[in-house]
Amino acid sequence: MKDNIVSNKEMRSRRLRRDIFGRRTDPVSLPDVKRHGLDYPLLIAVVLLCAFGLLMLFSASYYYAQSYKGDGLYYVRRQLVYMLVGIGVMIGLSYVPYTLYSKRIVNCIIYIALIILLVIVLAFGRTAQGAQRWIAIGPITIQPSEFTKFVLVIVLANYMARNRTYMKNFVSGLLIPGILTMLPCVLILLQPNLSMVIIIAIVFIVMVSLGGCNPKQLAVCFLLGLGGGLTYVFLKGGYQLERITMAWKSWEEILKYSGDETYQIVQSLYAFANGGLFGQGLDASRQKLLFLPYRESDYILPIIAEELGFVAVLLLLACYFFVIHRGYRIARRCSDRFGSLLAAGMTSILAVQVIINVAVVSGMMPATGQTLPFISSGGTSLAAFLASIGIVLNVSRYTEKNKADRV
Amino acid sequence: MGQNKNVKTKEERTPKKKKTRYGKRIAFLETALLLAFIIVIIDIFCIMVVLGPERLEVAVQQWTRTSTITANRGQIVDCNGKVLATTGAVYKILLWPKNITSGSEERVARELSDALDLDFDYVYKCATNKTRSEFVIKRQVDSKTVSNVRSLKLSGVGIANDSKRYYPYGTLLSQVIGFTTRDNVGQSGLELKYDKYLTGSDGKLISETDSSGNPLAYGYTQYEDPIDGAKIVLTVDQVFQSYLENALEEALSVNNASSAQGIILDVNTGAIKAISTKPDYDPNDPPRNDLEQLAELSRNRLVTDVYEPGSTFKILTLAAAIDSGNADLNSTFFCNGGYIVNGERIKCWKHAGHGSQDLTKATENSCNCCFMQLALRMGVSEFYDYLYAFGLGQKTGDIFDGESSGIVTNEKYVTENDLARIGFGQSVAVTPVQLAAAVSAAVNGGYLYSPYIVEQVVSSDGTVIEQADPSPVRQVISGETSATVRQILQSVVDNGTGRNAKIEGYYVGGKTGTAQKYDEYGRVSAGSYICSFIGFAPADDPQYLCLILVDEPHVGSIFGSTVAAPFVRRVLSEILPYSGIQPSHLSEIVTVPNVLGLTTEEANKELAKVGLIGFYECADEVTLQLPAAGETVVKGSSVLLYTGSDDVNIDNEPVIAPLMVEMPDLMDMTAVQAYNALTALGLNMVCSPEDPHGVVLGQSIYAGTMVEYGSSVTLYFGIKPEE
Repeated sequence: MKDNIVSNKEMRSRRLRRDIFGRRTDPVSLPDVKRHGLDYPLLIAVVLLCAFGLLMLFSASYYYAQSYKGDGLYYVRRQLVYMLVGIGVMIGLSYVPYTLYSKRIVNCIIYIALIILLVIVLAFGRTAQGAQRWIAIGPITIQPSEFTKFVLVIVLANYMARNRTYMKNFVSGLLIPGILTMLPCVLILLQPNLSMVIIIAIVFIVMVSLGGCNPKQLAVCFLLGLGGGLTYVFLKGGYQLERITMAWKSWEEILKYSGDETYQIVQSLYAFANGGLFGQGLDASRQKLLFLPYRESDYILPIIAEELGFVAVLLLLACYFFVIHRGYRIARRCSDRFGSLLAAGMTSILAVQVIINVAVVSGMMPATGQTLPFISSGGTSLAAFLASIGIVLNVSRYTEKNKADRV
Repeated sequence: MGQNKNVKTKEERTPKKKKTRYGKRIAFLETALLLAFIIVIIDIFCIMVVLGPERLEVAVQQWTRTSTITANRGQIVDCNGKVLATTGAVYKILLWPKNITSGSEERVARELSDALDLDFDYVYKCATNKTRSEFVIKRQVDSKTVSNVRSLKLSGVGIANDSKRYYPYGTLLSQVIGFTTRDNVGQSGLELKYDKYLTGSDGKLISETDSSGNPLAYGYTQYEDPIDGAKIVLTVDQVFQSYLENALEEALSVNNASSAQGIILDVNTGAIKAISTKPDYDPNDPPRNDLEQLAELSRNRLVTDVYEPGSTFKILTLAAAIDSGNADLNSTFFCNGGYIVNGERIKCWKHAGHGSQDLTKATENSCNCCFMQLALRMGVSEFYDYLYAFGLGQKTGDIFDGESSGIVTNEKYVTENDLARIGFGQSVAVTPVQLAAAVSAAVNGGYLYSPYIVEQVVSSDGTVIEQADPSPVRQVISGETSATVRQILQSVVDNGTGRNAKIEGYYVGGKTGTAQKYDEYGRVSAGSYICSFIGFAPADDPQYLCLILVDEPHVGSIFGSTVAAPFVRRVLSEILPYSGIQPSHLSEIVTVPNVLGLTTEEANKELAKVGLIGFYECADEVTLQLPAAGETVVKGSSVLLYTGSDDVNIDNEPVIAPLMVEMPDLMDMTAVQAYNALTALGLNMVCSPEDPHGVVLGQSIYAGTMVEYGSSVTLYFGIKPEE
């Protein structure tokens, strides 16, 4: 353990590395503190969320699984396996020094692997609901676009930590991170999966803001991007446009329209309505009797709301915010810029995804197909989020105890 | 810019500043996210607590499925309980689009449309419309088609009970009974007028289901029994009605007429025992495509159409004149072939004139001059008082829809000439029912009754909802006058124009009538006549009155006496023995021998020995006789012989062999499943407890038992104990 710190000190004393422009870059190294225990409140909150999620998944999926799969525990079993593996990975990763992800070779490998996977999806992927998003490896189907946000957080955090001196510069602060982000985005857009691109764009904005780019330049880029995006959607029309317009229609208009998109949102709102303040009681949901589609994945929150009521939804969201708060607390207390950006980025992905899922199921936003982290059924998503928390937990081992000494 | 950048880099290198700026950015981000969380929470609070209850009302509808249990439409029966209209069990084919195995919609639509002979496009459209849970694809399907559909084993296709209106006697009484729409809603006649009683109220089975319409095993079920429609008991006797209709059919064809109408009234109550217009239609299959023809054939013309009655009206003039003291049996009248009123010579039908005659003779001759004089003697006001008292110019009651009130010229505008014409039945228009009721009053002792046809309305639980009240409206003429009228009218049949209505052994009274028809401009239509005869029997104690009209006969001699009277004779001669009225002046009394077990031929010989006549329809072994052996009857009476092949038993109920079905095994079924299984077989379900929860734990009739179609089985529900 001591050797490790010593070697880090040596690293620091070495000649600074240079980037492709020949500029000197800042080093990435573990903070100059003794490695200590991880952030237990965060770990406990995440495990509690997973356990609650498993219970609610059982309640939401039992009827369908029993009636159509002949096994009431079909989804629960699968989720439990992924959860145990995911929690193992999380705890394992909490022991892996996060500096590993700052190695150029690691960055190159994960980024190129991501691009290759996305290309494979376009070439051989499975098509479902009009989009080609999945690749099947044996019994497991994975959605490579799910990993994109995590990969980009690592790559951008590493880039921005090393080039923090040049962040106000447009080329260094926005253009290069932008290109790094655009490449996978274009491939995802071809699937097509617009909502994922929007989430990646939000994560990108969060990352470059934290990295210290020029806010005015960011604002101009944001407006240009938004304008371009909207033009694209309107020119292309079709179901994406329909989805967006649907979110702004009134209740009466929605009821009159009988498309699939409205069906989901109407059924979701019925579930919320049936919940009231304290809910119908565990297992008493009516909407899970096949009325609400995707009840075990994207739309699990309405079932929770219907069975346990507004109070439970409030507590659940509070728990999520607690996790997010702990994540940013770790980021603030890590004196290493890479570690801090890594923790903040991973936390932001979680925060954005929770808000988007909740906004979608409550009808504030068009449907996107984003899961509710830790609770929705879906192995890859669950494992990826647990792994990302594992990385944050590792960062938490190197935080400064003293508030005054924080980054 | 460059300098500025330089400064900042320097600042960043000094630890304190750097930490603060970066830390602020994270804190700002966290605050922004907290704000987003709060917005989302406020929104969820709105949709769950504030807007929730209102939206929930719509949601509740999709969580349950309501199956309607159709109530049986009430029967219409005659006075002896013979069923004239009833509801039979058929089936309807349902389509549940959500239950169709996805991808097989086209195949289901193809096979179903072939089996039911429906348009493929229509069925396919229903099959692919997943927004509705149920379509009724075809109604009133017979059991053979149902078993065909069942054998196809199509997903999403259901079978439920349906009902169809049947009229066992076909055309019998069709204008009065009317018919229903295909949905069993009354469309005309009594079916329409008494629709609210006949319909009953449908039952309901509300059950919780999932989105595919599958009932939930532990769901809440609510069952509401259907209440069957009320039974309508008519005054009509099916036997009277058949006699009348047979006679009318023959009158129609023999006389080559455009229509024949007839009515039989119970003189002492006003009850209509039979009423018909020929040609008619079969309510089992009304010509729905030709609405004009249907309207024409289904019109109860004895009630809706007025006609100029002609000589039959003279009965009323006669009664009024005698009652008012303007004539008696000794009055004499002279006829030289016409009578001059206000300078106009109104001709008698016999241009040569009848000469001098007393009142009886004048009526026998149906002399117009005599009745002109009677009318003029009474004067407008007195004569009109009688006409209104006889019910002319007003509806007889509210038993029929579309009844006409007839045309009587207002007292103020009537001239002497009109009055004279009214005296012998011209310049006045009545409906046949009005005339029959008025004549009944003239011969029954003077009491006017409103004709009625519905004896009672009995609800499905046996309560009498409506009961006819055969009390007289008023006394029009005195009993003495009535007796005189009867005597004169009997003389008309015995000696006068009504000879063709004479029946051996009975005293019959009656009057002929021949009236001109008018075309649509009110001119006399050449060659178009309505011939009628009104007869009643027995003449000394009237029981039944029969009026027959033959519209536009096309035969050589067009008089009521030749065209209509023989048919009234025939009807009366058939109904009098049937209703137990014995011949009066063949006074030899004999005892009815026992002829049971003999062939009809042998029975007839036996009866002939004592001077009785056997009536039978088939030559077969006699199984029942009316009157029974040992009873004493007047010689010359008829004995009704029933044979094995007649479908008549002592209660006059048609014998229907009960359809037997096998009780299915209902154990472990939910209420909805059990209900579907039972209704498919035509059985009724009784739930115990009334709001069944869980599954069937017991059934009152064991599975496999043969039970009568329509039987009820009690099912005991409960939560099945875990094994």
